[in-house]
Amino acid sequence: MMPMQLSKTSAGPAAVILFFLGMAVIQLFSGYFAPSYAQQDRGAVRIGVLAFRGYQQAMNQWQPMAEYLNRNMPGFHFQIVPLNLQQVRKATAAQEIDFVLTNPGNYVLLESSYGASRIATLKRHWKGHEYSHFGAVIFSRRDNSSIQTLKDIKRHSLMVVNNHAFGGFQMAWRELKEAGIDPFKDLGELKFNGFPQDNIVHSVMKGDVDVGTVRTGILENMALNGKVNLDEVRVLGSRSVDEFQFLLSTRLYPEWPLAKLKHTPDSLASRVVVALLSAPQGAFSASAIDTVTWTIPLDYSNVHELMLELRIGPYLPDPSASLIKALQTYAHWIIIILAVLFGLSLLSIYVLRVNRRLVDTQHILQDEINERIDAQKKLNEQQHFLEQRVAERTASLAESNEVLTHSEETLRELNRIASMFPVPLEEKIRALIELGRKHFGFVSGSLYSRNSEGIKLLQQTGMNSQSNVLELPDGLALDEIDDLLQNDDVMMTERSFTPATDVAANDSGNRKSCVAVKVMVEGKPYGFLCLADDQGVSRNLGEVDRDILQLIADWLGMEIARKQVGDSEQKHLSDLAHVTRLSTMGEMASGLAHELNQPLTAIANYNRGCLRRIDQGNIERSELEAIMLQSVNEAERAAEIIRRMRAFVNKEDPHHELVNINDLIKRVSGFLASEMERESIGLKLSLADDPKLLTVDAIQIEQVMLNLLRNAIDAVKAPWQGPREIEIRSYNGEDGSVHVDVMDSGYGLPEGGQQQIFDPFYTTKDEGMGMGLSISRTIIEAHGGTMYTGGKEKYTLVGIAIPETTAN
Amino acid sequence: MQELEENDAIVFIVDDDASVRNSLRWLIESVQLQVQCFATAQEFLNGYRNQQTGCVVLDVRMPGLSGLDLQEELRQQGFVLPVIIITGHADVPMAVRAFKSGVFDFIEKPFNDQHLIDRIHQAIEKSRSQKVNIQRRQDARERLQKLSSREIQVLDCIVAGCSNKTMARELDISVKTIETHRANLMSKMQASSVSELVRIALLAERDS
Repeated sequence: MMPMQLSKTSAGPAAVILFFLGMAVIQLFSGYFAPSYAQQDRGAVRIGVLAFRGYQQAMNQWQPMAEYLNRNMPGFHFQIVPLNLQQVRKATAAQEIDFVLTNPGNYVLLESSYGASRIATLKRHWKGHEYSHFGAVIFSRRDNSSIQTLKDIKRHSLMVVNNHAFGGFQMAWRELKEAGIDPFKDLGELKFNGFPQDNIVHSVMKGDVDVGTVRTGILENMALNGKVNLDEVRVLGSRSVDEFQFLLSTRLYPEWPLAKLKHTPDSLASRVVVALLSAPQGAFSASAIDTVTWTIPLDYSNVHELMLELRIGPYLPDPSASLIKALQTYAHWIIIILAVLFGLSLLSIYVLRVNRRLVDTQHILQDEINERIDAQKKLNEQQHFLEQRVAERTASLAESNEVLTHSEETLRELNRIASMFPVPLEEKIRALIELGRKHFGFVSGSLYSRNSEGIKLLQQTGMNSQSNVLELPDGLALDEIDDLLQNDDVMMTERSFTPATDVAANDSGNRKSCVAVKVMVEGKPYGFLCLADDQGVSRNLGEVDRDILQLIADWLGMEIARKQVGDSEQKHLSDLAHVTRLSTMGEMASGLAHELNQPLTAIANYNRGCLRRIDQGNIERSELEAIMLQSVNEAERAAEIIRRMRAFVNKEDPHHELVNINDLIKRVSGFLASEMERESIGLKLSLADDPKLLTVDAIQIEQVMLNLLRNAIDAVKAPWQGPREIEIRSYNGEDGSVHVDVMDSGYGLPEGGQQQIFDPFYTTKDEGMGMGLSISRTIIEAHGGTMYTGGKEKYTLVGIAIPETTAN
Repeated sequence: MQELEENDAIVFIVDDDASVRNSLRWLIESVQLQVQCFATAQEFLNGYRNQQTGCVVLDVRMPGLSGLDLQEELRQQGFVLPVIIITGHADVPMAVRAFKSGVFDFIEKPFNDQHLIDRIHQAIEKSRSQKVNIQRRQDARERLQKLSSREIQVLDCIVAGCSNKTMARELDISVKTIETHRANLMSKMQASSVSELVRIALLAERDS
């Protein structure tokens, strides 16, 4: 930078004597134009590429090719060197590149000036076709009716890339010239747009310019990306060539060649050609659209024709020829003046150019610096913000951690309560309320139900449970509760307030706070859980606290639902049991009659005996008294039987008592003894000597055994022709249960009936509902026991196991 | 036989229900009958002395040997003790089975005490008469065994209705000898007439 500044200031006076200094400056800066070529290393192969759309784009497009060559030609290091038109020429002249990849026009120039020779021609791929030629399209807007043909372009504006651009101008130039139009004289305006060519299309479509020209494929590519609608484009001087599907206005010219330079060894060139021609499709594609491959070098003679016709490139007319005579006349003066002028102008041109570049670079650098400063500023801001966030998060995490630890304990306790079994549901609900109360450290927890009859306190734990029971939770209004219960979105409401009773005496922060959570049962509002505190501490419930509270409320709802279901199931069971007891009662009528007949017979006998003796006058008073007492006992026995029958038939609340299972077995076999007698069924009782005492509902268990025995009797009675034996066995099981097995010598269970027999309405009998075993199993399971079957062909075993329950 | 005391008869009560058992004893003893009680049929069989007159009153529904079983067992053992069955729930098949097996009566609970006592008396009466018959048959057999083989041949001819002459010809002995045998027969068989002789002879042969 420093020498530049220096040269700018020194260029100001434009002194003639500075000619030699200027030459020195040129010498000095010749290195500046191609600083990247300075390094040379063995095996390095440089491919100069015409970067008509910028260095970065050229690198992106051609780097894959260099990489491909590196892979396929070990020992060489191919580099892509992006260059502009001027640089290409310079680098070629200086032999700083080994290969050159440039447009046909430029190539023709290099060929004639520096002996570059093409070794391959590019093939572009578009929609499944390969194109190794290209042309240009001259176009206007379709709705611009004043331009229909090439000739109409006269006096209109034309936008091109620049006057060196081959596809972007020269091709069109040739066609215009043939149409009799000199673009530099006959047009309204010739605008140079530079790259990229897309902008030319945009300008034409926007109406900024009348006509544009771009190389073939640009329009189609833009249409593919939705940037232009081809229906709105009019192609001027349109041509069609077989197998060339792009819009076209000019002749076709071969695509870009890859050329070796004079100094490049033929062996290297031929290896590169082989590698490129044998590359699979897509080997050096930067993107799916820009797919290119290489083919054998094409004939570029029509490019020469174009150059010749237009007098450009190698055919640029030599301006010095007409001056020779004048030079001869005033040779010495002219030479001196020209030399001085030439030197000065050269110097100033270079200095100006350099300076412009310098200023441009400076601008770019300044912009970059500004951008960096901005970015740095933003980065700092971001960092500050992040640090703040991190600090905030850390603090809230620490807080959350604490809350979570506490919550974890609560959740663990919740889990413990939830999995408690068997525990009366009332107790479970109480434990849940207490858990909520303790978690938040509130003094009282209450569960209320809300229905049309009003608010009802169901359970309360904590301080208030002994002292005052409130009609309504302190500080909560009925309206507020109803809002809570009826609004689906709101799950809880929090209040902090000063109790009315304490208003006068309150300034010392004696505030109460409470939180009410909705309790839903089966998706409907049931009531609410209220936790209240009067310690004057206003508590802020955290997110996790709310979740836990919600969880407890949800669980309460579930337990309440389970309790309701349990109640209705219990009622259903008892109804069913009642029905079956009634039918069993009918079946047992004869047995019961006998039971009752026994004491009645005895009473009658005693009394008749007494009457006879009284008649005969030979009875002692003491004897009479003893017999009358016997008689009374029998009457009571009859009454007891009737009471038991009624208890059996009536719906009574479950009544658990401590029983010896053997007593139940004996009583039940007594009921059915007469029937067994009649059917000549042998009953064998094999009872445990010391069965564990069970806490059960004796009537229900009696009914179960009655069912089992009845089934056994039905299995072996007529028309069964086999042995008629029934055995009832009781024993203490290894699992701590008391077992009762009923076995019969009947036909056994049908195939697959082992489990089915417990199904409701499953029966093998002609009569009967098939409810017996189903109900029996329900009863046994309600006692925490199990029912099972066994036996093979010759006998059936149905057993029950009832656990010995600890008295609670 | 005729001289057997009325009080010799015993009413055997077999019932597993103690109160029914005891109340029956109380009732039956009120008409001055001897009563023995047993809780099961087996106990009764073990304690029963054959030839004892009386009757059995039992409940049809008992664990172990049932009332009907006992009745059948008694008959198989040749006991002639009449059995009165008391039942709380008579059904037709059971009654048929009972009467087929020769039960004396089948009384349903609750029963009329007089009816039961009457039937017990009648059963005892039957027991007694059966016992007399058995005694007579036994006597006849004992007498029969005292006869010589020639005397038995003569007795058979008399029962068959042959005259003395026919007998003498068949047995190839004189009429006079036949008359001597007849006189001995009458004396040994303690028969006062030929018709009585024939009746005793037939009695002895029955069931043998």
